[in-house]
Amino acid sequence: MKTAKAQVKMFETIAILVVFFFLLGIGFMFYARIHSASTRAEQREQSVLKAVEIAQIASHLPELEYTFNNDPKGYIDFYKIDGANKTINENTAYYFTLFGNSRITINQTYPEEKSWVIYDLPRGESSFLTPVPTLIYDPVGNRKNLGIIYVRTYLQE
Amino acid sequence: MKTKSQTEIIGLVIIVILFSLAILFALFIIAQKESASLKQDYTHKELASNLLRAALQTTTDCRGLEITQLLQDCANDNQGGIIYCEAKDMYSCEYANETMAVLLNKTLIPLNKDFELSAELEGDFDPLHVSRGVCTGEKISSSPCCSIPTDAGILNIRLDICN
Repeated sequence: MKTAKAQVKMFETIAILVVFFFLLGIGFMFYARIHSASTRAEQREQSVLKAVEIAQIASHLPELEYTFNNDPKGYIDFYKIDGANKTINENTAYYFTLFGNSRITINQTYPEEKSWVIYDLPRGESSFLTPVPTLIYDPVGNRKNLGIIYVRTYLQE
Repeated sequence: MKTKSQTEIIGLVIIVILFSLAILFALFIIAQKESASLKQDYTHKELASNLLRAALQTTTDCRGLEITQLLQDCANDNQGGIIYCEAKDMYSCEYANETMAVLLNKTLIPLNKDFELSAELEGDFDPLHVSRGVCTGEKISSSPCCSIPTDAGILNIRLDICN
């Protein structure tokens, strides 16, 4: 009688331990999933911040920006675009430190549509686009044309 | 009796643990959504104000004037504008409206975004109104970015981009 009671108690303890470890296992699995998802979200957030930073750098790049009497005016000089494109392509290693894995395109949308790719170093499939509206100034014709800088940033996988 | 109460306690503990896990999961989902909308808001806000600022300074084919100058003329006259644009046989108000529609459509249609552009002058005069689609949900506004001084008062221009 006493042995049977002890056995029941032992089974009870074992059952409690099994349930405890089962719940512990579920808890660990859940924590691991949350941790990996939050790490991915953090990486993506960092990439977004980097994209905004790249867009800011690109729109105020001295190689592109129109200046008058050494005063930067905040818009792109139409006649600097081809020169900047050549400089950037000849010094990719230097510009990689500024732009990383991204593609920067300048589109003129008004009056005529034109497009220039000034930097292109893709990596992987996952990317997102940051559009930055700007003006493209033609100092010869004294015209400000509407343009948009597209920064496509590739996510660090 | 003792075993029964123990079983009940274990059941209670399981319920509490499951409930806590559900709450944690819900919190995690909400936190992720907030972070995603934060970056979207930032990009939209910048897009709206930068686009409006750039569009207002764009040179048009109407006597080489900027949109801002056409809107100033439009607001001063209150009858459609004094400046006549020969290129399109229009006065400044109509020309500014049409050019802004072209600029915004060319920029925002490729990004698949609807928008509403409006201008308000003291005295209920609305010289500028351009839109594409209807913003039913959330929208990001450019204001307070662009105000133009005119003889008739301050012309406040606002661009809303639909989310």
